[in-house]
Amino acid sequence: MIQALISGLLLGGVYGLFSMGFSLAFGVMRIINFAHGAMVMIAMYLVFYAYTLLGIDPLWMVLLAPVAIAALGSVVYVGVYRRFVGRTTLQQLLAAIALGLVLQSLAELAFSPETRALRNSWGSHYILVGGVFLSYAQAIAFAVAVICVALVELVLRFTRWGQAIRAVADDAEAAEIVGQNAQAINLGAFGLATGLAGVAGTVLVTYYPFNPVVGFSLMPIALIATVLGGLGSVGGAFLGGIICGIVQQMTSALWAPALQDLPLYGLLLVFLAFRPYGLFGRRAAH
Amino acid sequence: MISLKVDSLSKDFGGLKVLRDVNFTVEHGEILGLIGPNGAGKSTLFEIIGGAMAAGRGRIELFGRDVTRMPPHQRRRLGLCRTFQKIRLFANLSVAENIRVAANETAAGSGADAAVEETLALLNLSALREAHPDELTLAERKRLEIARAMTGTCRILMLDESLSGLTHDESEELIDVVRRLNRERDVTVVLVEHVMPVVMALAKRLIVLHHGTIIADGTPEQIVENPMVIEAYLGEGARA
Repeated sequence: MIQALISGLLLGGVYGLFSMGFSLAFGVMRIINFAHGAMVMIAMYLVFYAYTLLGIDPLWMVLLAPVAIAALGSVVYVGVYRRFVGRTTLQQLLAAIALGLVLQSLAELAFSPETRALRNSWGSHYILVGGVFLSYAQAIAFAVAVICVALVELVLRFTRWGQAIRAVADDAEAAEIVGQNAQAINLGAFGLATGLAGVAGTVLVTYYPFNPVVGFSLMPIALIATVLGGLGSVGGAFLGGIICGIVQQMTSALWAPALQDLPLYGLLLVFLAFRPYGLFGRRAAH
Repeated sequence: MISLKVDSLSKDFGGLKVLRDVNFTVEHGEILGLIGPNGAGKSTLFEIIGGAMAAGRGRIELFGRDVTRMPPHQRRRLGLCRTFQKIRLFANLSVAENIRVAANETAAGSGADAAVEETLALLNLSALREAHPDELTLAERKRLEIARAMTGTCRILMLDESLSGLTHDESEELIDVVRRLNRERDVTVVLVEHVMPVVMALAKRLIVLHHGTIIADGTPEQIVENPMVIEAYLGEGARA
Protein backbone atom coordinates (compact mmCIF):
# COMPACT_ATOMS: atom_id res chain seq x y z
CA MET A 1 0.00 0.00 0.00
CA ILE A 2 2.78 2.43 0.99
CA GLN A 3 4.75 1.22 -2.02
CA ALA A 4 1.78 2.01 -4.29
CA LEU A 5 1.33 5.39 -2.67
CA ILE A 6 4.99 6.35 -3.19
CA SER A 7 5.05 4.99 -6.74
CA GLY A 8 1.87 6.93 -7.47
CA LEU A 9 3.35 10.10 -6.04
CA LEU A 10 6.50 9.77 -8.16
CA LEU A 11 4.62 8.95 -11.35
CA GLY A 12 2.06 11.64 -10.54
CA GLY A 13 4.80 14.26 -10.37
CA VAL A 14 5.60 13.62 -14.03
CA TYR A 15 1.92 13.51 -14.93
CA GLY A 16 1.64 16.84 -13.16
CA LEU A 17 4.55 18.31 -15.09
CA PHE A 18 3.01 17.17 -18.35
CA SER A 19 -0.43 18.46 -17.35
CA MET A 20 0.94 21.86 -16.34
CA GLY A 21 1.94 22.58 -19.92
CA PHE A 22 -1.46 21.50 -21.19
CA SER A 23 -3.18 23.67 -18.56
CA LEU A 24 -0.96 26.66 -19.31
CA ALA A 25 -1.87 26.62 -23.02
CA PHE A 26 -5.53 26.39 -22.10
CA GLY A 27 -5.35 28.98 -19.34
CA VAL A 28 -3.58 31.62 -21.37
CA MET A 29 -4.89 31.04 -24.89
CA ARG A 30 -7.97 28.80 -24.37
CA ILE A 31 -6.25 26.31 -26.65
CA ILE A 32 -7.02 22.64 -25.98
CA ASN A 33 -3.75 21.30 -27.30
CA PHE A 34 -4.49 17.68 -28.03
CA ALA A 35 -1.08 17.49 -29.67
CA HIS A 36 0.56 18.11 -26.27
CA GLY A 37 1.05 14.36 -25.80
CA ALA A 38 2.70 14.14 -29.22
CA MET A 39 5.26 16.70 -27.98
CA VAL A 40 6.05 14.39 -25.05
CA MET A 41 6.41 11.49 -27.49
CA ILE A 42 8.81 13.46 -29.72
CA ALA A 43 10.88 14.44 -26.68
CA MET A 44 11.08 10.75 -25.71
CA TYR A 45 12.43 9.80 -29.14
CA LEU A 46 14.82 12.73 -29.10
CA VAL A 47 16.28 11.69 -25.75
CA PHE A 48 16.31 8.03 -26.74
CA TYR A 49 18.33 8.67 -29.90
CA ALA A 50 20.58 11.22 -28.23
CA TYR A 51 21.49 8.47 -25.77
CA THR A 52 21.69 5.48 -28.09
CA LEU A 53 23.39 7.23 -31.01
CA LEU A 54 25.43 9.95 -29.31
CA GLY A 55 25.73 8.65 -25.77
CA ILE A 56 24.26 11.81 -24.23
CA ASP A 57 22.94 11.08 -20.74
CA PRO A 58 19.19 11.79 -20.39
CA LEU A 59 19.94 14.15 -17.50
CA TRP A 60 21.79 16.47 -19.90
CA MET A 61 18.83 16.32 -22.20
CA VAL A 62 16.67 17.87 -19.46
CA LEU A 63 18.29 21.11 -20.56
CA LEU A 64 18.37 20.49 -24.32
CA ALA A 65 15.20 18.59 -25.26
CA PRO A 66 12.73 21.16 -23.80
CA VAL A 67 14.37 23.89 -25.86
CA ALA A 68 13.95 21.82 -29.02
CA ILE A 69 10.34 20.95 -28.16
CA ALA A 70 9.58 24.57 -27.25
CA ALA A 71 10.92 25.63 -30.65
CA LEU A 72 8.72 23.03 -32.33
CA GLY A 73 5.79 24.24 -30.22
CA SER A 74 6.39 27.82 -31.32
CA VAL A 75 6.32 26.77 -34.97
CA VAL A 76 3.08 24.86 -34.33
CA TYR A 77 1.58 27.89 -32.59
CA VAL A 78 2.36 30.22 -35.47
CA GLY A 79 1.36 27.71 -38.14
CA VAL A 80 -1.79 26.23 -36.57
CA TYR A 81 -3.04 27.67 -33.31
CA ARG A 82 -2.56 31.43 -33.61
CA ARG A 83 -5.81 31.93 -35.51
CA PHE A 84 -7.79 30.16 -32.77
CA VAL A 85 -6.44 32.08 -29.77
CA GLY A 86 -9.09 33.05 -27.25
CA ARG A 87 -11.71 30.80 -28.78
CA THR A 88 -12.15 27.18 -27.73
CA THR A 89 -13.92 26.21 -30.93
CA LEU A 90 -14.67 22.82 -32.41
CA GLN A 91 -12.37 23.74 -35.30
CA GLN A 92 -9.52 24.39 -32.86
CA LEU A 93 -10.08 21.05 -31.15
CA LEU A 94 -10.21 19.19 -34.47
CA ALA A 95 -7.08 20.98 -35.67
CA ALA A 96 -5.27 19.92 -32.48
CA ILE A 97 -6.38 16.29 -32.82
CA ALA A 98 -5.35 16.28 -36.49
CA LEU A 99 -1.99 17.77 -35.59
CA GLY A 100 -1.44 15.13 -32.91
CA LEU A 101 -2.31 12.37 -35.39
CA VAL A 102 0.00 13.83 -38.05
CA LEU A 103 2.90 13.93 -35.58
CA GLN A 104 2.09 10.40 -34.43
CA SER A 105 1.94 9.09 -38.02
CA LEU A 106 5.21 10.80 -38.88
CA ALA A 107 6.79 9.18 -35.81
CA GLU A 108 5.48 5.76 -36.94
CA LEU A 109 7.04 6.32 -40.36
CA ALA A 110 10.31 7.56 -38.96
CA PHE A 111 10.76 5.25 -35.97
CA SER A 112 8.36 2.31 -36.63
CA PRO A 113 5.42 1.49 -34.34
CA GLU A 114 7.67 -0.75 -32.22
CA THR A 115 7.69 -0.14 -28.44
CA ARG A 116 11.09 0.78 -27.06
CA ALA A 117 12.69 1.37 -23.71
CA LEU A 118 15.76 3.36 -22.83
CA ARG A 119 18.29 1.35 -20.83
CA ASN A 120 20.83 3.68 -19.31
CA SER A 121 23.29 3.10 -16.50
CA TRP A 122 21.09 4.36 -13.67
CA GLY A 123 17.58 4.02 -15.03
CA SER A 124 16.96 0.52 -13.64
CA HIS A 125 18.59 1.04 -10.22
CA TYR A 126 16.52 0.91 -7.05
CA ILE A 127 17.14 1.84 -3.46
CA LEU A 128 15.29 0.55 -0.43
CA VAL A 129 14.04 3.27 1.91
CA GLY A 130 12.08 2.13 4.97
CA GLY A 131 10.78 -0.96 3.21
CA VAL A 132 9.80 0.94 0.08
CA PHE A 133 11.60 0.42 -3.22
CA LEU A 134 12.46 3.68 -4.92
CA SER A 135 13.46 3.70 -8.56
CA TYR A 136 16.34 6.09 -9.29
CA ALA A 137 14.70 7.08 -12.54
CA GLN A 138 11.34 7.79 -10.93
CA ALA A 139 12.90 9.69 -8.05
CA ILE A 140 14.98 11.82 -10.42
CA ALA A 141 11.94 12.39 -12.64
CA PHE A 142 9.92 13.50 -9.63
CA ALA A 143 12.70 15.82 -8.44
CA VAL A 144 12.96 17.38 -11.91
CA ALA A 145 9.18 17.79 -12.00
CA VAL A 146 9.11 19.53 -8.61
CA ILE A 147 11.96 21.85 -9.62
CA CYS A 148 10.18 22.72 -12.87
CA VAL A 149 6.89 23.38 -11.09
CA ALA A 150 8.63 25.66 -8.60
CA LEU A 151 10.45 27.51 -11.39
CA VAL A 152 7.29 27.97 -13.45
CA GLU A 153 5.36 29.22 -10.42
CA LEU A 154 8.18 31.65 -9.59
CA VAL A 155 8.32 32.89 -13.16
CA LEU A 156 4.54 33.35 -13.33
CA ARG A 157 4.34 35.11 -9.97
CA PHE A 158 7.42 37.24 -9.76
CA THR A 159 8.76 38.06 -13.19
CA ARG A 160 7.67 40.72 -15.59
CA TRP A 161 7.05 38.07 -18.25
CA GLY A 162 5.03 35.96 -15.83
CA GLN A 163 2.82 38.89 -14.85
CA ALA A 164 2.27 39.63 -18.53
CA ILE A 165 1.28 35.98 -19.16
CA ARG A 166 -1.21 36.13 -16.28
CA ALA A 167 -2.62 39.41 -17.55
CA VAL A 168 -3.05 38.05 -21.08
CA ALA A 169 -4.65 34.92 -19.59
CA ASP A 170 -7.18 37.12 -17.79
CA ASP A 171 -7.99 39.45 -20.68
CA ALA A 172 -5.79 39.60 -23.77
CA GLU A 173 -7.50 42.69 -25.18
CA ALA A 174 -7.14 44.63 -21.95
CA ALA A 175 -3.49 43.56 -21.78
CA GLU A 176 -2.96 44.95 -25.29
CA ILE A 177 -4.63 48.20 -24.33
CA VAL A 178 -2.21 48.66 -21.41
CA GLY A 179 0.83 48.07 -23.59
CA GLN A 180 1.43 44.32 -23.67
CA ASN A 181 2.06 42.64 -27.01
CA ALA A 182 -0.43 39.79 -26.50
CA GLN A 183 0.64 37.86 -29.60
CA ALA A 184 4.27 37.79 -28.46
CA ILE A 185 3.23 36.82 -24.93
CA ASN A 186 1.08 34.00 -26.31
CA LEU A 187 3.91 32.72 -28.47
CA GLY A 188 6.26 32.65 -25.47
CA ALA A 189 3.65 31.03 -23.23
CA PHE A 190 2.97 28.33 -25.80
CA GLY A 191 6.70 27.73 -26.10
CA LEU A 192 6.87 27.36 -22.31
CA ALA A 193 3.88 24.99 -22.31
CA THR A 194 5.40 22.71 -24.93
CA GLY A 195 8.80 23.03 -23.26
CA LEU A 196 7.21 21.48 -20.17
CA ALA A 197 6.01 18.61 -22.38
CA GLY A 198 9.64 18.32 -23.46
CA VAL A 199 10.83 18.04 -19.86
CA ALA A 200 8.12 15.46 -19.09
CA GLY A 201 9.14 13.36 -22.10
CA THR A 202 12.81 13.60 -21.15
CA VAL A 203 12.34 12.23 -17.64
CA LEU A 204 9.56 9.81 -18.53
CA VAL A 205 11.66 8.02 -21.14
CA THR A 206 14.12 6.90 -18.46
CA TYR A 207 11.60 4.40 -17.06
CA TYR A 208 8.50 4.38 -19.25
CA PRO A 209 8.33 2.22 -22.42
CA PHE A 210 7.25 4.26 -25.39
CA ASN A 211 6.06 4.11 -28.98
CA PRO A 212 4.45 6.65 -31.33
CA VAL A 213 1.03 6.38 -29.65
CA VAL A 214 2.31 7.06 -26.12
CA GLY A 215 1.43 10.75 -26.46
CA PHE A 216 -2.22 10.12 -27.18
CA SER A 217 -2.41 7.54 -24.41
CA LEU A 218 -1.25 10.22 -21.95
CA MET A 219 -3.81 12.83 -23.00
CA PRO A 220 -6.69 11.56 -20.81
CA ILE A 221 -4.40 12.03 -17.80
CA ALA A 222 -3.68 15.63 -18.83
CA LEU A 223 -7.39 16.34 -19.27
CA ILE A 224 -8.33 14.78 -15.94
CA ALA A 225 -5.46 16.46 -14.04
CA THR A 226 -6.39 19.83 -15.55
CA VAL A 227 -10.05 19.48 -14.57
CA LEU A 228 -9.16 18.27 -11.05
CA GLY A 229 -6.69 21.10 -10.51
CA GLY A 230 -8.94 23.74 -12.03
CA LEU A 231 -9.03 24.86 -15.64
CA GLY A 232 -6.20 27.27 -16.24
CA SER A 233 -4.55 26.76 -12.84
CA VAL A 234 -0.98 25.70 -13.57
CA GLY A 235 -0.13 24.69 -9.99
CA GLY A 236 -3.52 23.01 -9.72
CA ALA A 237 -2.76 20.89 -12.79
CA PHE A 238 0.43 19.67 -11.10
CA LEU A 239 -1.51 18.61 -8.01
CA GLY A 240 -4.15 17.09 -10.29
CA GLY A 241 -1.41 15.04 -11.94
CA ILE A 242 -0.19 13.81 -8.56
CA ILE A 243 -3.75 12.79 -7.62
CA CYS A 244 -4.01 10.91 -10.93
CA GLY A 245 -0.73 9.09 -10.30
CA ILE A 246 -1.67 8.06 -6.77
CA VAL A 247 -5.21 6.97 -7.69
CA GLN A 248 -3.87 4.95 -10.62
CA GLN A 249 -1.21 3.14 -8.61
CA MET A 250 -3.44 2.52 -5.60
CA THR A 251 -6.17 1.09 -7.85
CA SER A 252 -3.63 -1.08 -9.57
CA ALA A 253 -2.31 -2.41 -6.26
CA LEU A 254 -5.60 -2.81 -4.41
CA TRP A 255 -7.93 -3.75 -7.24
CA ALA A 256 -6.59 -4.66 -10.68
CA PRO A 257 -3.95 -3.10 -12.95
CA ALA A 258 -6.34 -3.29 -15.91
CA LEU A 259 -8.80 -1.04 -14.06
CA GLN A 260 -6.28 1.54 -12.89
CA ASP A 261 -7.81 4.36 -14.95
CA LEU A 262 -11.43 3.64 -14.06
CA PRO A 263 -11.57 5.68 -10.81
CA LEU A 264 -9.94 8.58 -12.66
CA TYR A 265 -12.82 8.79 -15.11
CA GLY A 266 -15.23 8.55 -12.19
CA LEU A 267 -13.40 11.40 -10.49
CA LEU A 268 -13.56 13.41 -13.71
CA LEU A 269 -17.33 12.99 -13.91
CA VAL A 270 -17.79 13.89 -10.24
CA PHE A 271 -15.70 17.06 -10.60
CA LEU A 272 -17.41 18.12 -13.82
CA ALA A 273 -20.79 17.65 -12.16
CA PHE A 274 -20.16 19.13 -8.72
CA ARG A 275 -16.97 21.22 -8.88
CA PRO A 276 -16.34 22.16 -12.52
CA TYR A 277 -13.83 24.84 -11.53
CA GLY A 278 -11.66 22.16 -9.88
CA LEU A 279 -9.61 22.50 -6.73
CA PHE A 280 -7.89 25.73 -7.68
CA GLY A 281 -10.01 27.20 -10.48
CA ARG A 282 -9.28 30.67 -11.77
CA ARG A 283 -11.12 33.68 -10.47
CA ALA A 284 -13.87 34.89 -12.72
CA ALA A 285 -13.19 38.10 -14.62
CA HIS A 286 -14.62 41.32 -13.23
CA MET B 1 -0.05 71.32 -31.02
CA ILE B 2 -2.46 68.60 -32.10
CA SER B 3 -2.40 65.42 -30.00
CA LEU B 4 -5.11 63.48 -31.80
CA LYS B 5 -6.51 63.87 -35.28
CA VAL B 6 -9.46 61.87 -36.58
CA ASP B 7 -9.69 62.30 -40.32
CA SER B 8 -12.71 61.24 -42.43
CA LEU B 9 -13.35 58.20 -40.26
CA SER B 10 -16.17 55.86 -41.25
CA LYS B 11 -17.20 52.45 -40.02
CA ASP B 12 -19.92 50.05 -41.20
CA PHE B 13 -21.20 46.91 -39.55
CA GLY B 14 -22.73 45.09 -42.48
CA GLY B 15 -25.24 47.56 -43.89
CA LEU B 16 -25.30 49.67 -40.71
CA LYS B 17 -23.23 52.85 -40.89
CA VAL B 18 -22.00 53.43 -37.35
CA LEU B 19 -19.59 56.28 -38.12
CA ARG B 20 -19.90 58.57 -41.14
CA ASP B 21 -17.02 60.78 -42.16
CA VAL B 22 -16.05 61.85 -38.63
CA ASN B 23 -13.46 64.64 -38.49
CA PHE B 24 -12.04 66.36 -35.42
CA THR B 25 -8.78 67.21 -33.71
CA VAL B 26 -7.82 67.38 -30.04
CA GLU B 27 -5.28 69.97 -28.97
CA HIS B 28 -2.54 69.14 -26.48
CA GLY B 29 -3.81 69.73 -22.93
CA GLU B 30 -7.50 69.87 -23.85
CA ILE B 31 -10.29 68.15 -21.96
CA LEU B 32 -12.77 67.06 -24.61
CA GLY B 33 -16.14 65.48 -23.88
CA LEU B 34 -17.75 63.18 -26.41
CA ILE B 35 -21.49 62.97 -25.89
CA GLY B 36 -24.55 61.71 -27.70
CA PRO B 37 -27.46 59.32 -27.36
CA ASN B 38 -27.02 55.54 -27.11
CA GLY B 39 -26.03 54.11 -30.47
CA ALA B 40 -24.51 57.40 -31.64
CA GLY B 41 -21.15 55.68 -32.31
CA LYS B 42 -19.16 57.02 -29.33
CA SER B 43 -17.92 53.64 -28.13
CA THR B 44 -17.09 52.52 -31.67
CA LEU B 45 -15.09 55.71 -32.14
CA PHE B 46 -13.24 54.99 -28.87
CA GLU B 47 -12.52 51.42 -29.90
CA ILE B 48 -11.12 52.56 -33.26
CA ILE B 49 -8.96 55.31 -31.76
CA GLY B 50 -7.64 52.84 -29.15
CA GLY B 51 -6.90 50.27 -31.83
CA ALA B 52 -9.18 47.50 -30.52
CA MET B 53 -11.32 47.83 -33.65
CA ALA B 54 -10.13 48.41 -37.21
CA ALA B 55 -11.17 51.61 -38.96
CA GLY B 56 -13.39 51.19 -42.00
CA ARG B 57 -12.20 54.24 -43.92
CA GLY B 58 -10.24 57.27 -42.80
CA ARG B 59 -7.16 57.91 -40.73
CA ILE B 60 -6.12 58.34 -37.08
CA GLU B 61 -3.08 60.40 -36.16
CA LEU B 62 -1.45 60.51 -32.73
CA PHE B 63 1.05 63.31 -32.16
CA GLY B 64 1.37 63.72 -35.94
CA ARG B 65 1.96 60.03 -36.58
CA ASP B 66 -0.41 57.82 -38.59
CA VAL B 67 -1.52 55.03 -36.26
CA THR B 68 -4.53 53.79 -38.26
CA ARG B 69 -3.10 50.29 -38.61
CA MET B 70 -0.98 50.27 -35.46
CA PRO B 71 -1.86 47.59 -32.84
CA PRO B 72 -3.19 48.81 -29.47
CA HIS B 73 -0.04 48.00 -27.47
CA GLN B 74 2.04 50.21 -29.72
CA ARG B 75 -0.46 53.07 -29.43
CA ARG B 76 -0.26 52.71 -25.63
CA ARG B 77 3.51 52.94 -25.76
CA LEU B 78 3.10 56.19 -27.69
CA GLY B 79 1.09 57.53 -24.75
CA LEU B 80 -2.54 56.77 -25.66
CA CYS B 81 -4.24 55.46 -22.52
CA ARG B 82 -7.82 54.32 -22.20
CA THR B 83 -10.36 52.69 -19.93
CA PHE B 84 -13.21 50.38 -20.87
CA GLN B 85 -16.91 51.17 -20.60
CA LYS B 86 -17.38 47.86 -18.78
CA ILE B 87 -14.58 47.50 -16.24
CA ARG B 88 -12.05 44.91 -17.39
CA LEU B 89 -9.42 44.45 -14.72
CA PHE B 90 -7.06 41.47 -14.50
CA ALA B 91 -9.04 39.38 -12.03
CA ASN B 92 -6.18 37.10 -10.99
CA LEU B 93 -3.71 39.92 -10.36
CA SER B 94 -3.56 42.10 -7.27
CA VAL B 95 -4.18 45.85 -7.43
CA ALA B 96 -0.43 46.56 -7.55
CA GLU B 97 0.12 43.85 -10.19
CA ASN B 98 -2.66 45.26 -12.36
CA ILE B 99 -0.82 48.57 -12.44
CA ARG B 100 2.58 46.92 -12.68
CA VAL B 101 1.69 45.03 -15.89
CA ALA B 102 1.03 48.37 -17.56
CA ALA B 103 3.92 50.21 -15.92
CA ASN B 104 6.39 47.57 -17.13
CA GLU B 105 5.70 48.67 -20.68
CA THR B 106 5.00 52.35 -20.23
CA ALA B 107 7.22 53.74 -17.49
CA ALA B 108 10.35 55.48 -18.66
CA GLY B 109 13.05 57.15 -16.62
CA SER B 110 12.42 56.36 -12.97
CA GLY B 111 11.10 52.90 -13.89
CA ALA B 112 8.14 50.69 -13.25
CA ASP B 113 8.49 50.44 -9.45
CA ALA B 114 8.36 54.19 -8.99
CA ALA B 115 5.48 54.52 -11.46
CA VAL B 116 3.44 51.90 -9.59
CA GLU B 117 3.98 53.58 -6.21
CA GLU B 118 3.21 57.01 -7.60
CA THR B 119 0.05 55.76 -9.31
CA LEU B 120 -1.15 53.91 -6.21
CA ALA B 121 -0.74 57.09 -4.19
CA LEU B 122 -2.38 59.35 -6.79
CA LEU B 123 -5.47 57.15 -7.07
CA ASN B 124 -5.60 56.53 -3.31
CA LEU B 125 -5.08 52.79 -3.73
CA SER B 126 -1.93 52.23 -1.65
CA ALA B 127 -3.78 50.53 1.20
CA LEU B 128 -5.40 48.13 -1.28
CA ARG B 129 -2.25 47.10 -3.13
CA GLU B 130 -2.51 43.39 -2.25
CA ALA B 131 -6.27 43.14 -2.77
CA HIS B 132 -7.76 41.49 -5.86
CA PRO B 133 -10.35 43.25 -8.04
CA ASP B 134 -13.23 41.14 -6.72
CA GLU B 135 -12.53 42.51 -3.25
CA LEU B 136 -12.95 46.14 -4.33
CA THR B 137 -15.98 48.40 -4.37
CA LEU B 138 -17.20 49.81 -7.69
CA ALA B 139 -15.49 53.15 -7.01
CA GLU B 140 -12.22 51.41 -6.16
CA ARG B 141 -12.41 49.28 -9.30
CA LYS B 142 -12.99 52.41 -11.39
CA ARG B 143 -10.02 54.10 -9.71
CA LEU B 144 -7.91 51.02 -10.41
CA GLU B 145 -8.89 50.98 -14.06
CA ILE B 146 -7.89 54.63 -14.41
CA ALA B 147 -4.66 53.90 -12.51
CA ARG B 148 -3.81 51.00 -14.81
CA ALA B 149 -4.62 53.10 -17.87
CA MET B 150 -2.56 56.17 -16.95
CA THR B 151 0.49 54.73 -15.15
CA GLY B 152 3.84 55.49 -16.73
CA THR B 153 3.90 57.75 -19.74
CA CYS B 154 0.38 58.91 -20.50
CA ARG B 155 -0.17 61.74 -22.98
CA ILE B 156 -3.83 61.23 -23.89
CA LEU B 157 -6.26 59.68 -21.41
CA MET B 158 -9.49 58.36 -22.89
CA LEU B 159 -12.16 57.68 -20.28
CA ASP B 160 -15.14 55.60 -21.36
CA GLU B 161 -17.89 56.28 -18.81
CA SER B 162 -15.35 55.91 -16.02
CA LEU B 163 -17.25 58.30 -13.78
CA SER B 164 -20.73 56.83 -14.14
CA GLY B 165 -22.43 54.86 -11.39
CA LEU B 166 -20.56 56.63 -8.60
CA THR B 167 -21.85 58.62 -5.65
CA HIS B 168 -21.41 62.39 -5.72
CA ASP B 169 -18.34 62.24 -3.45
CA GLU B 170 -16.71 59.37 -5.35
CA SER B 171 -17.33 61.19 -8.59
CA GLU B 172 -15.87 64.44 -7.22
CA GLU B 173 -12.75 62.58 -6.11
CA LEU B 174 -12.16 61.17 -9.59
CA ILE B 175 -12.94 64.49 -11.27
CA ASP B 176 -10.22 66.01 -9.10
CA VAL B 177 -7.74 63.31 -10.14
CA VAL B 178 -8.50 63.86 -13.83
CA ARG B 179 -8.12 67.63 -13.42
CA ARG B 180 -4.78 67.16 -11.68
CA LEU B 181 -3.53 64.85 -14.42
CA ASN B 182 -4.53 67.46 -16.96
CA ARG B 183 -3.08 70.44 -15.09
CA GLU B 184 0.01 68.98 -13.45
CA ARG B 185 1.07 66.40 -16.02
CA ASP B 186 -0.20 67.96 -19.22
CA VAL B 187 -2.35 64.93 -19.98
CA THR B 188 -4.90 65.53 -22.73
CA VAL B 189 -8.26 64.04 -21.76
CA VAL B 190 -11.03 62.67 -23.99
CA LEU B 191 -14.08 61.38 -22.16
CA VAL B 192 -17.29 59.68 -23.14
CA GLU B 193 -19.85 60.31 -20.43
CA HIS B 194 -23.61 60.25 -19.99
CA VAL B 195 -23.60 62.00 -16.63
CA MET B 196 -23.97 65.58 -17.81
CA PRO B 197 -22.90 67.31 -14.55
CA VAL B 198 -19.61 65.39 -14.77
CA VAL B 199 -19.11 66.36 -18.40
CA MET B 200 -19.91 69.98 -17.65
CA ALA B 201 -17.57 70.01 -14.68
CA LEU B 202 -14.64 68.61 -16.62
CA ALA B 203 -14.82 69.32 -20.32
CA LYS B 204 -13.79 72.59 -21.88
CA ARG B 205 -15.09 71.49 -25.26
CA LEU B 206 -17.82 69.07 -26.32
CA ILE B 207 -18.40 67.09 -29.48
CA VAL B 208 -21.88 65.67 -30.03
CA LEU B 209 -22.31 62.52 -32.08
CA HIS B 210 -25.67 61.47 -33.49
CA HIS B 211 -26.19 58.53 -35.87
CA GLY B 212 -22.43 58.36 -36.40
CA THR B 213 -22.08 61.99 -37.43
CA ILE B 214 -20.78 65.01 -35.56
CA ILE B 215 -23.72 67.39 -35.17
CA ALA B 216 -22.06 69.95 -32.90
CA ASP B 217 -18.63 70.98 -31.65
CA GLY B 218 -18.13 73.78 -29.14
CA THR B 219 -17.91 74.88 -25.54
CA PRO B 220 -20.36 73.36 -23.04
CA GLU B 221 -22.26 76.67 -22.99
CA GLN B 222 -22.64 76.64 -26.78
CA ILE B 223 -23.64 72.97 -26.84
CA VAL B 224 -26.49 73.28 -24.32
CA GLU B 225 -27.98 76.06 -26.42
CA ASN B 226 -27.59 74.23 -29.74
CA PRO B 227 -31.08 73.37 -31.09
CA MET B 228 -29.86 70.24 -32.92
CA VAL B 229 -28.27 68.89 -29.77
CA ILE B 230 -31.35 69.68 -27.71
CA GLU B 231 -33.52 67.84 -30.19
CA ALA B 232 -31.24 64.84 -30.64
CA TYR B 233 -29.91 64.34 -27.13
CA LEU B 234 -30.37 66.82 -24.31
CA GLY B 235 -34.07 67.63 -24.54
CA GLU B 236 -35.70 70.94 -23.72
CA GLY B 237 -34.96 70.55 -19.97
CA ALA B 238 -31.25 71.12 -20.53
CA ARG B 239 -31.76 74.75 -21.46
CA ALA B 240 -33.33 75.55 -18.09
